[in-house]
Amino acid sequence: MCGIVGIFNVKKSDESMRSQAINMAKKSDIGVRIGQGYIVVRTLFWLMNDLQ
Amino acid sequence: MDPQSGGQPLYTDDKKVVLAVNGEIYNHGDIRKKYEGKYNFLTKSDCEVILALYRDKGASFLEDLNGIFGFALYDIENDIFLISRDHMGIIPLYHGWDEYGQYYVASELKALEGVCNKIEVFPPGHYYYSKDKGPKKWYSRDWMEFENVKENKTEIAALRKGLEDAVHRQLMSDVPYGVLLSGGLDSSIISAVAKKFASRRVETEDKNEAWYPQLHSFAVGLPGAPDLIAARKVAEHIGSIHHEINFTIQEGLDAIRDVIYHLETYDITTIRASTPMFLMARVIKSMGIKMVLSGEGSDEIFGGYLYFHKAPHAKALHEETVRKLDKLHLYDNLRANKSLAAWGVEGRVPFLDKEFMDVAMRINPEDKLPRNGRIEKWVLRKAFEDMLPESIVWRQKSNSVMVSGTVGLTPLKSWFRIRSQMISWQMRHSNFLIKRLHPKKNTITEVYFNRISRPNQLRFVFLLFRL
Repeated sequence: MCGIVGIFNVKKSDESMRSQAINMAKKSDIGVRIGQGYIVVRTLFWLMNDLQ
Repeated sequence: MDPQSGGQPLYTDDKKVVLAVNGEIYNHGDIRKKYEGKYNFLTKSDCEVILALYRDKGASFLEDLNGIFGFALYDIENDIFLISRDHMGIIPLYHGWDEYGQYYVASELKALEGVCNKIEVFPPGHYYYSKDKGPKKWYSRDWMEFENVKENKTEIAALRKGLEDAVHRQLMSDVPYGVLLSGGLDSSIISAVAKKFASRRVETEDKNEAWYPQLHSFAVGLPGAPDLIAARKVAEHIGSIHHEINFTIQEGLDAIRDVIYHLETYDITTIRASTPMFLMARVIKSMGIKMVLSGEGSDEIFGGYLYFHKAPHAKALHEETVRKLDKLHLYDNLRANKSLAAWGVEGRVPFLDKEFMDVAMRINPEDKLPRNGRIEKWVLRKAFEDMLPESIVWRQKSNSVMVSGTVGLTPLKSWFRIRSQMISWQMRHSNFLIKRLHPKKNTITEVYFNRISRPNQLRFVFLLFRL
């Protein structure tokens, strides 16, 4: 079981989105509870940004 | 499934499609077989079949899945995203937009709070393909219209097989599991059927011995609650290893704040019923159990609530069952998922299995009407009467079961009154926020009852809680 966070249509800078994504995972306990949520967030985030 | 290789996110072998998913795909074995030699699976995760299906069919594969899920898929090469949620909204999913037009999805509402200007519940049975303007419905059934089922023949044997198959499918697990046994009809049936299959490993089509062959059942309630006695009776009958968890009124009250935090709702009935479940989940987790089967959905499918006795005719009953199922993601599904997930326990709900629902909702609604000597859920009782004690099978739903399913009526009343007073107090002290956000509403009650049942106002609920 895993919580998910996804961000699409990314328009802001890399760094601000990165910290925002991490904060979202932390705030929802997804990262803490699942242990993989943080990675999910970060990976999705970087994939999004690779395309910007 | 496959906790060792099921790490997230999942990728296709060329790394061009990435998937973040929360849930279980019960028919993954059949889908894997179909794509053997055509798709290169990198893990044994049940959810990886979503990638195989996407590669084959684009966005039009959701009907192929039988499971519970919320996922976000990103196709890097084509810059396409696909978001979707299971047919009944058993797995939570929210989405939102910020001031820059960025689009967010998350398993929990609180992840989006403070980031998005607009937050909504992602509708169950829908998908959002980035080529489209917004979510589209993928789950639609003939039985949603009374006209399509009114002439159907009711087959008790098919109903029984349908539910047994659903439980069997959902016993797919690589981790220790159990059943929630409240002592009511629904959880007793699920427990009895689970016990029937527990000794064999489902993943090997029952050829091998199960990794965790002993079935553990769990009941929770205030000391002396009648349901606890009923649950004990069922456990003795089916031969499960039974665990009885007591809690005090004070423990219930102390937990309310945490329950609201995790459930992200202020719905009174949901919070009331979730609190014992939340307390129970902590104990279940401490015993190393990672997954439990639960009986949610039966009352909605079969018209099990006592007010169904007043249904004037079969059409009215059927339409009410469809309506209740449509709203279930806001109430019982929230309870079953989030009360347990708060402690890292996964809840599964065989009554809401996609295939079983098709069987149960195509029953002639005339046979669900409680009349002519038949009590509510007569067809379900009849289908499983040989698996449970007679006193359980033919025990009519009591008020205590109706409102909680876990605690006795007398202590419940006092607990309910105290809890209501507590929430009223919280709401009174939230007055300034309500006036600021809803200047046209005159009273707290008006705001509460107007807002609380609307999915797109969940953000308000969360804000209220944060005070």
